[in-house]
Amino acid sequence: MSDKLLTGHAPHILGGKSVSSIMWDVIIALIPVSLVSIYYFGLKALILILVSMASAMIIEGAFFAIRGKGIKHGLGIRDGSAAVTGLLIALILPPTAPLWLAVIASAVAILLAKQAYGGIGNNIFNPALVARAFVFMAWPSLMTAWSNPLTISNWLADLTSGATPLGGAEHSLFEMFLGNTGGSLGETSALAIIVGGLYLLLKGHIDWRIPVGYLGTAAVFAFFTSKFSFYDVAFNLLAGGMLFAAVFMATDMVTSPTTKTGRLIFGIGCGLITMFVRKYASAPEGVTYAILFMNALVPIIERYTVPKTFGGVKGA
Amino acid sequence: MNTTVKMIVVLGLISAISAGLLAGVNMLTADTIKANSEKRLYETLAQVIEADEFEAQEGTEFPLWLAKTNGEVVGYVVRLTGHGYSSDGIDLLVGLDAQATVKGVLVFSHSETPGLGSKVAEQSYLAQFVGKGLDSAFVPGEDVDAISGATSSSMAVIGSVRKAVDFVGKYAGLTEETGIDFANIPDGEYVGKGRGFGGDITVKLTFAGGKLTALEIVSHNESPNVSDPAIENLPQAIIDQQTVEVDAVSGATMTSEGIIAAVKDALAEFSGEDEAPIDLDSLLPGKYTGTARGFSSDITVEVTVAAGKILDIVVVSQDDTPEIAGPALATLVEAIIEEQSLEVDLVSGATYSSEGLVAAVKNALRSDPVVDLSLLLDGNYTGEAEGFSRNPIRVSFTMKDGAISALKVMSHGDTPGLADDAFNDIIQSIESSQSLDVDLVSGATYSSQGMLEAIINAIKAGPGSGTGQ
Amino acid sequence: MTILKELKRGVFLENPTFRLVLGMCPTLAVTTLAINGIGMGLATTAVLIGSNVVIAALKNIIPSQVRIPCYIVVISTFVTIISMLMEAYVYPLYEALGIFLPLIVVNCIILGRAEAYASKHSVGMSALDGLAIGLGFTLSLTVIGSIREILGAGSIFGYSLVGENVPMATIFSLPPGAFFTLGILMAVINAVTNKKNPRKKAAAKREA
Repeated sequence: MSDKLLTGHAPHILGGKSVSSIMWDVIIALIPVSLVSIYYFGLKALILILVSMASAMIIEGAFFAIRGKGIKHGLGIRDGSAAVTGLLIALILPPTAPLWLAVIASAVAILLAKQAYGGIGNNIFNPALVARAFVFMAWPSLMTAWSNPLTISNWLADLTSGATPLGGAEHSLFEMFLGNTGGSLGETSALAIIVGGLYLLLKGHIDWRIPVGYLGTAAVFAFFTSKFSFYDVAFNLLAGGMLFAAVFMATDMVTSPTTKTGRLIFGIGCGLITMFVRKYASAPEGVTYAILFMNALVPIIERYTVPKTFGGVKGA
Repeated sequence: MNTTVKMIVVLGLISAISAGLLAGVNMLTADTIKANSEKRLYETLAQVIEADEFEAQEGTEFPLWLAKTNGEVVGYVVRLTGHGYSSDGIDLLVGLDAQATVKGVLVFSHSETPGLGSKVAEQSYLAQFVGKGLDSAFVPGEDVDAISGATSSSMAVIGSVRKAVDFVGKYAGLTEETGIDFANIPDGEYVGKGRGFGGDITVKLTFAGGKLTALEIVSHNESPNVSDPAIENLPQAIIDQQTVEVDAVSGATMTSEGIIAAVKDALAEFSGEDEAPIDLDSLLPGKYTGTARGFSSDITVEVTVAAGKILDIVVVSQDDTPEIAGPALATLVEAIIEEQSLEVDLVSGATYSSEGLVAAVKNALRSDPVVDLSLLLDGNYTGEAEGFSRNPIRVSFTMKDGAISALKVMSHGDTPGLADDAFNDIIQSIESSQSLDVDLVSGATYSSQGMLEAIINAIKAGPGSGTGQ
Repeated sequence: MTILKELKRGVFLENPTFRLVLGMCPTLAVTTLAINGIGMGLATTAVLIGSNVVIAALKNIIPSQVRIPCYIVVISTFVTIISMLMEAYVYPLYEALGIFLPLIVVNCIILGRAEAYASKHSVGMSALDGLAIGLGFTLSLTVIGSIREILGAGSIFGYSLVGENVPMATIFSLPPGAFFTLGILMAVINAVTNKKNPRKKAAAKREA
């Protein structure tokens, strides 16, 4: 069922109605993650989410107003895609990020990563991840100022600085599953991510091949590079932003392949690069670059995975 | 024909004129360039220590300059490369006075993450090293600070400064040289890795009779031809001279250094800087207790050793997050027991707890054990040790099902009567308590101690073997 | 008049960076600071004028079969002379430009002007062309360098514009920042010139 909707040629100019219904479903799927982040990181998280979403929508609206096309062409506002981008950006920022950082990230996502390529459906790279890569390189110290989660008894307290599991903090796998660890707003709670992911899967908006290819590859990689330790497998799946990215970022229908085999290859590529960066590169986390890199390969992947029946002319 | 000649002549002429011009400009600028570069070097060196002039030293382990004022050596400048987060090193200069006290540190090139690791290159961070010297511990969080979020970069700088202090300490004769003495290395094979020009070089060393007898380069990825002289000649040089401190083969310096580093790596446990290696075979059977720092608390372990094997490791106390540290430590304990080695992979997500456990076990094995006789293998034991007189005390006993029996002194040269009574007292105490934790007999302390030592030597020698009998 | 026209052509109409899109390697690599942009631009200008003059003077002597080797010898001679002079007298700039100074030899702008202009025009015109193109290159590099320095380091020509504790966007001092700056500048310049040129504007409209 879902494939019928998704196998069209890019750009995916679907009817406004279906785009916006997908976007609303994505927002619904992100609600558990957002709530958990507010639970663990307090009001700061809620404000960050609201500012990020509002700025993404305002910037998108302003862009269309300045280009003289009027708000009515501002698809991104009506269809909710700007809101989704803003929400995703907030969820991949550390809870201590200043609000202006969220605004700049939204601007980069909307202007550089989306509109510069021709707006929704034409962008090559996932806008939220471009924004993250940009602000990460621009303000690395702000982007790595992680904090410990709050406890319910002092929920209004200030955040205290702390490390993430990939950065050396020690948490039990169960705490990592619940999300009671340091990290970006949306990436800490595996439980909430899985709930949101299942919703999208049931609604048919994402294809299981990408997350399964991504996480499966990472799991196998972790298993073999840790001398067959299941703990290491679980740790690598739960730590950092991989689970969140595999469910909400890699599956972005605009920037992932349209063919079934292509999606599997895409997921496997993301998993391999992420794990290579984690294990061998001079950075603790590699999710952002893994997905952006695979985004760039999407045209090639699609070219070699188009089913035979599509290429009627020999040698085309 | 005509065109060919013209081509050659024109191109030749242009090249000749170019060459002439370049030679002219070179003559014009060479002196200024040389003077500039010397001036710059001295200006840079003067940033880490004040002096009238600097004199480069040759053939030292690290590039070294003597800082002189009025012809007197007032200090040293060492150039080192530390390895932080980036694969490229952090190049720094450390200025030290004649007592190897740090006067200044300057990072002049690095590729650490801008805005994060790059903070270690700022004077606001480096100033903390001024005044540190040979008696400083260089422990982050204690006498030096690491930048949070840039631990690897900080550690690289801290390590380099510490190396500079140690190096100058040795160079200036303030501390004793602690090289690797081949004669002290137990027989066996040792494998180590070092970085050469094209990647890791792996070497295998064979020691026999207190000498290095073979040095094999197991694998390398050096460029053929260029590295050949080093690969062919250096191992023989190391064997001939019986030292790692050999000269690099010129033209293949990187490869030479890689081989030397690999040999050092293989023998790292014997270099004076590290503590003595733990030889499981020489450990007495019994319980060893040790403590080391984990993630957020001290980890105390009790290690049971018998017959040269680690039988069990019990974590007596630790307050690290139980849910993670617990399983992680259990995994590690299992790995240590299985591999009978402390060189085990740390558990990711619980690195600090893992390191703490390994350190605690090491500390335990270096401490004095509570000897547990019941762990001894069955058999007859004999051993000897010096008592009151020069003649050794020889003892023998039998172990069966963890119980000691038939303990007797076979011969001794100590005062007859007095010593014999003491021996009998001790035999009785040991056999009844089944423990070596017995009181010495007053009036015959040396004899008592000698006997206990003889028993311990017998245990060390193992059943069925022994001296003399 | 000719001089002004030539300069306008070199700096704007045929701007080597934004119009001809030549010499991208130094453009992206050295423009972390405004001063580096000026230094690289002026060094290239000097080489460009020198090589243009020499090549224009020798254009009738050099046999066409060996003209490229001759051009390269001439260009590399100038580059080496300039780099020796810079090392001796303006060392900080020499160090900042690093490997990209000797690489001026392979900057396609220089060989491009030698082949396309100097080998067909008089010595005077070629010198003027070298100056104009060189200034265009210098201007572009300085603009890119200024933007990157302001955004990445919060300063311009080394003068700090903001307080010490303002977190500047380090990315603009890094290689990705060079691509972002160049891309956005080029987009803006294209947008402005397309607007000014009604013919192109119409074409753009048709396409849309």
